[in-house]
Amino acid sequence: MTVAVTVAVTVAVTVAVTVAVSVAVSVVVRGRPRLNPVRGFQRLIGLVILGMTGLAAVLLWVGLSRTHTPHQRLHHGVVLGAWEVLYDTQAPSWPEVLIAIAVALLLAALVAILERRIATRYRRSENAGATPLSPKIVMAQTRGVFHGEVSVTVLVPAHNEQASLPATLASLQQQSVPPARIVVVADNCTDGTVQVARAAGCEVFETVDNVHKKAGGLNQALHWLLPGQGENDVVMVMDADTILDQGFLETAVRRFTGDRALMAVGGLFYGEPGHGLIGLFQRNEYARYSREIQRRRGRVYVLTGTASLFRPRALRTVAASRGRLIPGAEGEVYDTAALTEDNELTIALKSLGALMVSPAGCRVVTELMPTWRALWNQRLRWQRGALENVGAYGVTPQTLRYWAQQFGIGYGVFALSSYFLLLGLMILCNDGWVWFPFWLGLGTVFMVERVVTVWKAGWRARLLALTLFPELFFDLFLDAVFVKGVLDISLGRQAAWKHHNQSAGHELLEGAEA
Amino acid sequence: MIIVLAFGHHLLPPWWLHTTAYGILMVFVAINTIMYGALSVAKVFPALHPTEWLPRKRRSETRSIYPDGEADQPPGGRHRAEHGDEHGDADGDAHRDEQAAQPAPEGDTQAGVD
Repeated sequence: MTVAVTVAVTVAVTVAVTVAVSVAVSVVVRGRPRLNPVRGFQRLIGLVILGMTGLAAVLLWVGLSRTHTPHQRLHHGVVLGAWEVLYDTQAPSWPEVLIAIAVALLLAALVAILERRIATRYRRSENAGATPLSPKIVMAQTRGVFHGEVSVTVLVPAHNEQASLPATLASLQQQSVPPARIVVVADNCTDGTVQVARAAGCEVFETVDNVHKKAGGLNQALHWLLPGQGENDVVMVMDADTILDQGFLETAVRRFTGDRALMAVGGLFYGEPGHGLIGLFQRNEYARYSREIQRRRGRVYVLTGTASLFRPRALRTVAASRGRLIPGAEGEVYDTAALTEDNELTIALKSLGALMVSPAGCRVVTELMPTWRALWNQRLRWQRGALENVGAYGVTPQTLRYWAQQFGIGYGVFALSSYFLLLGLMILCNDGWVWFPFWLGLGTVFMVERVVTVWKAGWRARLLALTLFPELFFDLFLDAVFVKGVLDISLGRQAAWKHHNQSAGHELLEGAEA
Repeated sequence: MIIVLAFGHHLLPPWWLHTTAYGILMVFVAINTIMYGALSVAKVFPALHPTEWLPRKRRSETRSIYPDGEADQPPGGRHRAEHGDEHGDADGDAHRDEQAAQPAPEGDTQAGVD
């Protein structure tokens, strides 16, 4: 059996088993009452993803054990007439290289094509019962009537945000197209958040007996706000630690004015300056995310909680569809069971056929985590939230992309840890430098990719990218977060909301959700 | 990326590098590395959007909030050419699907809408 056949068989078997198991789990999860999803089944989600990607790795491993196994082919050489080097000419054969390239590109293309076809199918849907927000239906329902100019009402959920709130509100008020209203949703604040908001000339909505954190506070505010909003009175939800770039609202308003079927506009975020190396890692990550969204022509992965705008119709329809078409409690815009409410709302809107975009002109600066501990907690919440969201929705056309993303992360855990294992063994078993020309060349490809993808983020970002290994270790850190998230879900551990208090400079345990 | 160099002082037995398990690990990492390398190269080059290579048709009716607005060009077409990603298309080439052969009659929910 050749390596090529092994890779092909591995991919085929893994995809088949993955689809079968995912659909089976999905049927079980979806067959349960949506309002009270059975955690026992949802716990399987992380294990399914890690198990299937592990299966792929094992299959590949077993298959490779039946092929030839390369051994070191060491040579001595002299560079520049003086530098004696030891090098190894070991490299895969060209057919193996070509097959590996083909498999990778075909898998990526398959996911992209499927995502595209699914999006188009939803956009063309005329089934008002299943996809009430699809463009055809919205266009038909709004045809021939002028519902007024587009206006923006901003909701700023805030929990003890007196330190960051002034800059956030100022960035809103200084927009070239300012919002009609700014409402600070003060949730269980014990500091001067309310006073700061009022001093800035903003309205304040204080939550009552809210125990569901940000999602719960926003639900209360939206219950109060939405009945008075017209078709074009869009609602923006913006974090209190976020600053809009100039032109954000102008771009969003132009988009909503030009397309009445457009249901949501999401921001593209980049990191605030500072925080040393850990800040640089996060800025590079966000820069690559923004670049990826622009390469996708603004097609959205997540309507970020940092700053996104919604037509009232979209939010009302989500609330009315919960418990019936999508998970959650009927009447609530945000699913309070979701750890990542913005990701969940994005999937909800997509599932209902909504059109959305992240234009390049809608950029926001967001807060970065200043410590590894804070970053760990933030990413653990994001990762768990993402896993639980796909678990709650099961395998549907609109969640296919998100499943693929989780499988990609899962496989990356095995790939990267194997790489570091090999690297460690090679270092510890050799007694001198050994150069591998083939892999040195491939390493250069990675360096170029890393640098190009953060080019716009400045010379510091490029320099870090050029060094390659620090970012590989950062990826290893994120892989560890993924594994911890899977274990926590599987063991039914509590997911804690940890709020990074900017003014106090430390983290506060804000509460817990099952 | 796989190993580009290695250095050490025999902290582990050198014969480990000649075992079958080590060889398999090396091939496993190699295959993965090449696959990730291919994806990296794909990310360096501009994304391909074949659906944009063909000229786009005008819409049969406006999608703007103004009912009497002019039937405009989908943002992915004319605007993108003028302004690049700034006016990136909200629904991709779905706009292309808006048939523009004839103006849609008022109230016709089927025609001209994506």
